[in-house]
Amino acid sequence: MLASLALSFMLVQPSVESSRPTPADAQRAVAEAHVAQRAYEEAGEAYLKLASMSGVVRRDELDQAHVNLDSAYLTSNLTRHLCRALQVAEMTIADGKFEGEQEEKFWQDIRDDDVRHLREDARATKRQNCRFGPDGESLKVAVALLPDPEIGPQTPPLDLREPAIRAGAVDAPVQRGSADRRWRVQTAGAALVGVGIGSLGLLIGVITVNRRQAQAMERMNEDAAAAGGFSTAGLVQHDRIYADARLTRSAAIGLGVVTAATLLTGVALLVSRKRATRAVAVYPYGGLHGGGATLRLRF
Amino acid sequence: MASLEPRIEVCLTRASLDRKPYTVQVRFAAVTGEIDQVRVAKIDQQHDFTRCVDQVVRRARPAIGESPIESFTFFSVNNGR
Repeated sequence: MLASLALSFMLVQPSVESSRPTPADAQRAVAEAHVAQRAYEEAGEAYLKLASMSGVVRRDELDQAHVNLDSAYLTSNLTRHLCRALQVAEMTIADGKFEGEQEEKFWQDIRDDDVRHLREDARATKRQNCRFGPDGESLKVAVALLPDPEIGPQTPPLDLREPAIRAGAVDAPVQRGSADRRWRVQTAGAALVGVGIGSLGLLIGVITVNRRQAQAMERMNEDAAAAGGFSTAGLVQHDRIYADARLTRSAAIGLGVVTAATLLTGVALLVSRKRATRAVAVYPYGGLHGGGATLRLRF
Repeated sequence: MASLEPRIEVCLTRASLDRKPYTVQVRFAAVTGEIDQVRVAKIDQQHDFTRCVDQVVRRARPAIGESPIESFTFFSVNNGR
């Protein structure tokens, strides 16, 4: 009886596990519910989220996301939905790893169609959208300039200084702020490293003295053992060396702590500063939604 | 749209493609309700099969449904929807 119960439990257990909805199942249900309610924007976003989950065919979900965002545009006439759909197409193309050339071309066609629809919308409605101006002209590509205190402002700031300063007759400390701060950080880092190295040298010296004291006491112990005991003068000398050894040991411990702290801080200050300015620099970046690299040129 | 399947199959034969489920997306123009685009999922728009399917679907003149983009699956177990 007990065995049959256990057997039935073992047989039932996997079916209970398999019938439990996965997070992807739940997300798909949400997306489909939005579609049923003709809430296409929400459906598109829900499919987009689903595409990032495990246990799904990513590109199929991205296709559904695109279809729904495009539907949101068609039903609302708001180009931001089509812009979002275009983003999905571009992201899918950027993902790559297509099953074949046909699938890659399919997505390229979708992207081209989105761009064409945006251009047609701009011309027809005289509305600017994410890619085209009111007359259907392509908007200039906006390059996001990364803030970099090492280089300073990318665009010249509005010049509100006194004319004398503007003309260069008087030094303008404001413009040097960033460089001064960087210089101060580097100087502090270098100074701390210098102090740390000096402290390390002292530490090595103290440890050497301590070792010599230990060796001296060891020799005195051996001599005393051979002579059958310490003489009065030998005992006094031994006690003095022992007291000195305790002092040097304490000094070594203190210097060790100081050395570690100054060296670590100094190195951290030197390392954490921005890399030296170069004419050409590649900065990798990454995040939840992907990664890439930024090529920066200095003119 | 299931009635179009024999004609879609002709397209399939002409394009020398395997018989397997194909999803056709029909995009309707919001204002006119006319067919704006016919796509076959995962296949190039210039592919012979897509162009053939485009003609078949446009000739059939399906009415715009609840959604501005309708998807139909051919050669599946359910024979399209």
